[in-house]
Amino acid sequence: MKKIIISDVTLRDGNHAVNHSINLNVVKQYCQFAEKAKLSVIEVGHGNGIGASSLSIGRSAVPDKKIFKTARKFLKKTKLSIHSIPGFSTIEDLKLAIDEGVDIFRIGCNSTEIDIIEKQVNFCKKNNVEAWGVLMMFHLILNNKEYIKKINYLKTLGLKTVIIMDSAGCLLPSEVKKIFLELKKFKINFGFHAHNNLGNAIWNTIEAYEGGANILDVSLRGFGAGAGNAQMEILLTILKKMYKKNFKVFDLSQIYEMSDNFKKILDKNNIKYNNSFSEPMNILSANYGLFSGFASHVNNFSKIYDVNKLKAFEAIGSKKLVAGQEDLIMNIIFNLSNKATLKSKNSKKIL
Amino acid sequence: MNCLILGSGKIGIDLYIKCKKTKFFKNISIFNKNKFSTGAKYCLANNFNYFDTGIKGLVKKIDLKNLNLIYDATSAEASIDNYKLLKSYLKKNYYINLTPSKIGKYTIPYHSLKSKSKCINLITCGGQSSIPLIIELKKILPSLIYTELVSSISSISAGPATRKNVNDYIENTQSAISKLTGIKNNKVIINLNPSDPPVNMMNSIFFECKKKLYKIDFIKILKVLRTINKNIKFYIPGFNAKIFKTESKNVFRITIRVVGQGDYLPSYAGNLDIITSAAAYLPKLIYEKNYH
Repeated sequence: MKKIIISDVTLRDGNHAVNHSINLNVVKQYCQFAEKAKLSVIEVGHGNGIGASSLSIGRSAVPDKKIFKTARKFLKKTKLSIHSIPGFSTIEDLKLAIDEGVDIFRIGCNSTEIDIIEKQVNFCKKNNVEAWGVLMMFHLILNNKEYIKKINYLKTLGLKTVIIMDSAGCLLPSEVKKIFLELKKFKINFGFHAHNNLGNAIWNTIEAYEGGANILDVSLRGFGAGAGNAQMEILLTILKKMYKKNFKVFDLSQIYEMSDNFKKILDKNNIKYNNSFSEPMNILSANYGLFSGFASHVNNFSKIYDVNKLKAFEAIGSKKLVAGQEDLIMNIIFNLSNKATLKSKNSKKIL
Repeated sequence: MNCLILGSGKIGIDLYIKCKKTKFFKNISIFNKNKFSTGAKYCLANNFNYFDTGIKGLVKKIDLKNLNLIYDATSAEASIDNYKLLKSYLKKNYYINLTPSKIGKYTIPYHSLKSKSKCINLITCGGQSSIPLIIELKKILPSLIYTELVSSISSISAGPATRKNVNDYIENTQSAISKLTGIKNNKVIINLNPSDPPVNMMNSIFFECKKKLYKIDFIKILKVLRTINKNIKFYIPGFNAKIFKTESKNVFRITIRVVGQGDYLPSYAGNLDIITSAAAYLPKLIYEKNYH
């Protein structure tokens, strides 16, 4: 049986939930916890991965380099991973991560454009560091089993591990089951990354596990973009109940304790945080197949321009925006606002 | 003048049509290596002056009496070999690099042709659309410390070369912005949008100043934008820049939408149209420089 890897994305995907404000104190305490709980991998950095700190998406409170350094210092058995999306990140960023001793490079982008990761994957190979392929917004390639082609392509790049990301949180357990049945023939490692917009993060992950995924992305308290990810405490409790032996190594008591303390740690570091919860806007974002991280931006701009949130989501959904196009959210919402209707007499709309 | 285009991909063909429209050239020829490619078939079907002899055939076609403009619309990798072969011909002729490789002097036609070099690099679509704005705005905003260019292009308009070259695209654009505008601290982000129908190309530039911006600053910015929108239309008719304020008092954002002219490329591929438009505008500047 393949070794089960619990991959904790709290400090990376969770950074979306706090506007990328996680600081070195939190990183330090979290890494110490991850070691004690015997988690396999933890991922750190800006929500959109290395090199993504920017005015358009949000600036990280701490530069990538310092975060990697701190995490590296406190991790021994638990491996350190980063997320990298070419277009935000460049080879220069990867060099920095290699120098800081990152173990696993999770390189991905929206599934439809996956061929743009080739250069970064080859760079990792050349430098003898472990690269995983990440198919983000997986629902975009569900039609006609387009994903089979994409995974074949990733195999030709020499990748032995592929993470399926339900970035929009819109997949249903029955769909996940079907997908993993198809994936069995590939004989490589698969991982699953859930979002909880439709309340399915836990059961989607369990379906993935039962279908052969051996890498499970989780986060503490479900801390992540939009409605959050698969909540580690719940997932491991259930999986231990169902498959006791396979999950023996992970220390639940440590995880429960950290879950209790996590809020206090964030409070002490002045990081504002709401418990991940699927608000109507998160449900809508999944319904329109949008990236989970958009919800907070839509919320924000709807308030500024006094536009009905649901209408805003409908409009953005019809444009099929993808992660990285946060700047266009503002334009679309502006066009829906009264200000735009007043102005439109003189000038044309932006989009 | 004569015009020789190397590469019959999307860019090469669109450029051929645009060059024809300018009426600056006596002869326009287009070259590639594979007469069975989609582009080659299009050239043959439309009676283009097409040759399947590649770079070697192109060298033979250089007219020694007349000034030649050699456009390289192949790929970043191929351009390196092409340039080696063409180097000795550049005393009189021009080599214009439309690939994202680093060969040639960074050039923005908006700011006339100051450089003496006959080897010209047209940077990238993001560079062509953002650099004129950054240069002009820096003049009225001395406290400008950081710019961030976010380009969204439709995924269909990004061919295999673009996809392989995402890294070169970012590095080349960043280095051109820093060289031509002096803003060393700048960031470039690119997104491919899979939506169907395709979205029009869109660039956002964030400008961050050290000092708070006041109403008077925004009046000045608007004035500059109006001038650029007007002047750049000489060669990029679909260019439209607009300003948006942000929550922060020292940051504003300008969005540029480029609707292509739809010559060969569809109009949503404004990203490619910027490069071909800039390339087709160069002969006018070169003519003025050499004959006036």
